[in-house]
Amino acid sequence: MNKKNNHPENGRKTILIVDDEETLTWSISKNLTINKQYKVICANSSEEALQILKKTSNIKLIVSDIKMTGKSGLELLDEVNKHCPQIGFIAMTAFGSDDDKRKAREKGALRYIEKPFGMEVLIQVIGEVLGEMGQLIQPPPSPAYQVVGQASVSEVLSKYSQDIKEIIFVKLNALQGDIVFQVGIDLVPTDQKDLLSSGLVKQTGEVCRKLTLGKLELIVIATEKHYVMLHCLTGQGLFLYSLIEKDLGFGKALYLIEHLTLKIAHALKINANGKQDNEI
Amino acid sequence: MKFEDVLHDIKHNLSRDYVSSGIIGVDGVHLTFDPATPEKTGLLTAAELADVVKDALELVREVKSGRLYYINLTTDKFKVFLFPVGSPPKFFCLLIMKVNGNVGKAILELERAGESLRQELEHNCLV
Repeated sequence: MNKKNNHPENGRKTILIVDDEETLTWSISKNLTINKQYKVICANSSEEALQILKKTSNIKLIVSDIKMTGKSGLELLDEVNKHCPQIGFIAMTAFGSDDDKRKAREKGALRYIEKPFGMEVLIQVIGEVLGEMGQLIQPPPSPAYQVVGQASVSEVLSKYSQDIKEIIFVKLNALQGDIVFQVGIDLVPTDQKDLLSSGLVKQTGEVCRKLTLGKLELIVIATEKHYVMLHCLTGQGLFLYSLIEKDLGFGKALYLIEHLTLKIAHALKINANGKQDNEI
Repeated sequence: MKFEDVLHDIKHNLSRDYVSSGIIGVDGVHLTFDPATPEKTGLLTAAELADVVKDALELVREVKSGRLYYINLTTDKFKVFLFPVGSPPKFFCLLIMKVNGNVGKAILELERAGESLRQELEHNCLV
């Protein structure tokens, strides 16, 4: 499973709508979420909005009325500037209230929108502001590689790790920038061992290149109890990470893992970008 | 037995499979290298290999695998062995052999060499 695509930042951006008219916040919320384009949180006062901001870290934009009972939208804007200046602010003002528009602008509101407004206008303004902030919804990036026959990869990995008792685990990991994520299996979440092993593969690959030793294919670490094998699927940015009881013997362990690597290489189809971007 | 003699024995016993060898501190400073090591490989400034050993030791600790015996890197051109000397290792013996070289024989030679090196390093109060 490609964890990268599950990351919340790859999904919808969160917008906080603040207005003391419940029907308006409800209506805006319905319109903004209809295409699942945004995630919307509603507050019916500045005080409630501040509470939400304290608890929620991923809000990108606030769309707030200026005139509200209790703290005004401008006071809310002051608090936002003080505590979370990275959040964009769109002010909703009553028609003709030039003074509110000016104050909102002076305090750093990115836009103002006069009530009453059509939803399509609000959606357009939100799109523009998020675009300027670099937060415009982008389609999630296509994965660097595609797993074809994922079930067969899982099957192969499970078979090896379950049928041969000396194999403690086999994981297919991928390197992409500094991110390690597993492909095709849901056995164990990424942990410190994965990070260390990916660091080792990357570091060793670079050292081998620098010392003109050639392209790294395999790292075997023999210890008192285990063989740790990191088998690169050359040019594909992937490596098979296996932990094997030493009782199995080096020759047999190596044969099994090489055989397994070949099987997995056949079960995976790597797209052109993956080949170029993720070469170990 | 001197370091150079240990390396000479490895070279002699592995004969055609042999490419180069050396003794390097985990701090990256090398003690000695086979004089025949080609300079162009950059091996003579092999501090980076010490980083590989350090990273591998960290992984071994995380996996709770016990003592590190050796690290074997296979590339499309060579087989590289990093054989730690001492516990915890302060030095390691580097062996580079041809990619189709005999791994079993290399490990045997490194185990022999490791013992001689340990004694020599102990004699020199280096481990």
